[in-house]
Amino acid sequence: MEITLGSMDSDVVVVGLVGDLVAGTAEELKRQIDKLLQKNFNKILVELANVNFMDSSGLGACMALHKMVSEHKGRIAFVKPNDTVAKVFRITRADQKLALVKSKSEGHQYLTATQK
Amino acid sequence: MMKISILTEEPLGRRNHIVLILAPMFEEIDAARQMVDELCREYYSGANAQEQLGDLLLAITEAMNNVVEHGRTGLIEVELTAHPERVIFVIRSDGLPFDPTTEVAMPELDGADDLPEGGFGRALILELMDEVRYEFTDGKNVLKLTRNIVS
Repeated sequence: MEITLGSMDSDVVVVGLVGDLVAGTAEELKRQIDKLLQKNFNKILVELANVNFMDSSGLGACMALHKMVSEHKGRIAFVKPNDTVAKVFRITRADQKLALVKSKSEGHQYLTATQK
Repeated sequence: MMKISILTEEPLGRRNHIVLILAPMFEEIDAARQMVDELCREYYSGANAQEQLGDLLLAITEAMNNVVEHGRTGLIEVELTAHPERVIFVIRSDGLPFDPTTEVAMPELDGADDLPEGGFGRALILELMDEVRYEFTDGKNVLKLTRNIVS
């Protein structure tokens, strides 16, 4: 899986994922987010549109990211998963706990509006 | 380094049956999933089948992950057979007996800030497959997953 980092404005970091979010790639994602948090970036948009497949390890990584960012008093949103990936969030009911948004602008609004 | 082995030689898109031998590594699970995906997309061309195939790929990935994570196994044999109305996927592995079919609930998320990061795999398999059977025979764990395909 390819992980790219970009900024949306001075506060929000966009983490783009391309490939499969699975057991073999989930740890690297957690490491990358941890690095951002260590640098005090705590508003994070994770772009899922180019994630073709996600298993329960990938879902667990999303849960872990939510927890990590919350512990740093930040917010994280997951942008536009495809139908296959969205189904994993839905049937595990994780979509009721994680912020899934339809666009980057919606995610930006969520992150900035809820930031304390 | 990919060590995946295929025990038949016909082109992937023209068959309804494959047997793969995998080392217990996540990279090999990824490769096996991609091969199953390719075979099934060729075999089941109907638009209605695609979501069902997505369910199948998720369940077999979870089943193979379980073997790698809990099985203490050597090589893993996976066998897939596509029939017009169902797909049958069988995993054979050595190691300690491990029955993944024991009824398990989806982890509870309601009211918890401390979100669970694991425990979804077996629940997903049971949710997404039409039939899940396990037996320990001749020193091997044998897990058979069946998914009906409605065209």
